[in-house]
Amino acid sequence: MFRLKEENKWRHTLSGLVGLVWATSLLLGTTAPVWALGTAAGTVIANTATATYTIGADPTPKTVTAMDSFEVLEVINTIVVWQDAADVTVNTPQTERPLTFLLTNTGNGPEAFTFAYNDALGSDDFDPLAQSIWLESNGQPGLQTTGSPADTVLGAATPDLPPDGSLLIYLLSNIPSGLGDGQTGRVSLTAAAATPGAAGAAAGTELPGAGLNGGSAVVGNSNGHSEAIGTYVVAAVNVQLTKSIAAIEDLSGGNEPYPGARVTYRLTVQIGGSGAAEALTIVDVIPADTTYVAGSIVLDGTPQTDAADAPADHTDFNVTSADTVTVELQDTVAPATHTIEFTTTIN
Amino acid sequence: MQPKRAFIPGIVIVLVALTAVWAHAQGQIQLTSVAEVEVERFNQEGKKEVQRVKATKVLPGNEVIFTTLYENTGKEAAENAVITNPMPEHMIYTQNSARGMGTMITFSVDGGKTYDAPAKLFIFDASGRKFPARPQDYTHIRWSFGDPLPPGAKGEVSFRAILQ
Repeated sequence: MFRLKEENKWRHTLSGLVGLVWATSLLLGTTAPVWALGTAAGTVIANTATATYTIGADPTPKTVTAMDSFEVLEVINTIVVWQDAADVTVNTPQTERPLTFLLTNTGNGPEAFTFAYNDALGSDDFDPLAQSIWLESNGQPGLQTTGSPADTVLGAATPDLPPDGSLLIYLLSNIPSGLGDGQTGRVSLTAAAATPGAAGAAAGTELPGAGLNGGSAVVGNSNGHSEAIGTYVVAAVNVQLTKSIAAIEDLSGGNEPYPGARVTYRLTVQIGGSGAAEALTIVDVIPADTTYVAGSIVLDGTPQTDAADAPADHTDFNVTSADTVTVELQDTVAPATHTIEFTTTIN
Repeated sequence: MQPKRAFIPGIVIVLVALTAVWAHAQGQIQLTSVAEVEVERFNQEGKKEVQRVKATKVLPGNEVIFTTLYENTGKEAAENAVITNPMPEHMIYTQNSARGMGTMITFSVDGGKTYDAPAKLFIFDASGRKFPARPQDYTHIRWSFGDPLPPGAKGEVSFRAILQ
């Protein structure tokens, strides 16, 4: 312990504090400090006292020893913690989005756990539709529902977890359609100790025969179960397209839409909400009785070519689609606004 | 009559054995060690009281009271008497909990090589820096009797520790 230099500086203060806290807890009769992982259940703790003494003038010390022992009881304890760093973004609708939880056996004996979820919690905007629970089992970060090997769907219970053992759990939900951006939906995941009688029992409840080697097990402070709540948030993107005429220049220097007049159209693309509009492409067919003015496409103030020459630019005219201005905005993260202009001549 | 005669040597052997035990016990300190826990129980008046019961199964985080009872059952005084108790595995000494009438109580943090009062105990980290020892650093407790224990003298020494 205390291998780090920084920690050493703490030591003087800490030792005093620990002593004080300890003494206080004893004075108040509160429970002793609780370790996340105690001494393993079934461990035999033996105490041996030795007396040495001499008799009369004989300098040879005589010794006598005495011993007493007891066994460490099994305590059943668990904790589940939601692992995602932030609310998990979802589309509306979307299928099988995972929330990630970490289950830890904080007891001192091996224990298996069963799971239950509740997707109809309050204090949120929508109810996700929980579908299935998966165990991280293939050693690759994140959930893989397919592939070889894939992670595994939870059966009746987890395998036995050793004391302090952890398991990553994925809870998959479907997200309903028609939700608004920023709406949240919460799901709770509850892990329950598989030992009969443990889940929901009061702390301190003794379960005869439920412990290691047929001994008793005692329900710890988690009451044999633990719940954590994860949250989904809708990252709904909306794209608004407005078209207007930016300018008309007629042949006589005015701005009337006579034949021969040049009409500049402006398309304003507003990406609102949150998340990303993926592979966003704007297409506009040139109006009838007009002629496209070559090289007139301008994206956000920058002139573009008419050729399909990506990645130089991602616009073209009459290549991707006939008589059509095509602007590929690609993946666009909200919020964003883009302006596209092009010019035609009235026939 | 023959069967009765056959019994006599048997009785003699038993008597010899008993005498041997007695002789062995003479001039000896008898030692008994007991581990107990405190439990809250309701007494007959319905009031909560703390009782000590023998520790058989203990939960991590709970405190255990280790008591060593001594008695000089011999005919001579026991001199230079010392009771030594290594801290049991997985147990952390409860500060200021050691008791022992007529004894000087010292502790070891080096596996029983040296003993001293808590304030004079230090431990060293890997780089040789010195820090005051904490209760969890104690490896042994020792009770040194100031006076010889006369025949018939008895008493107890004790300490408390928490199961990790």
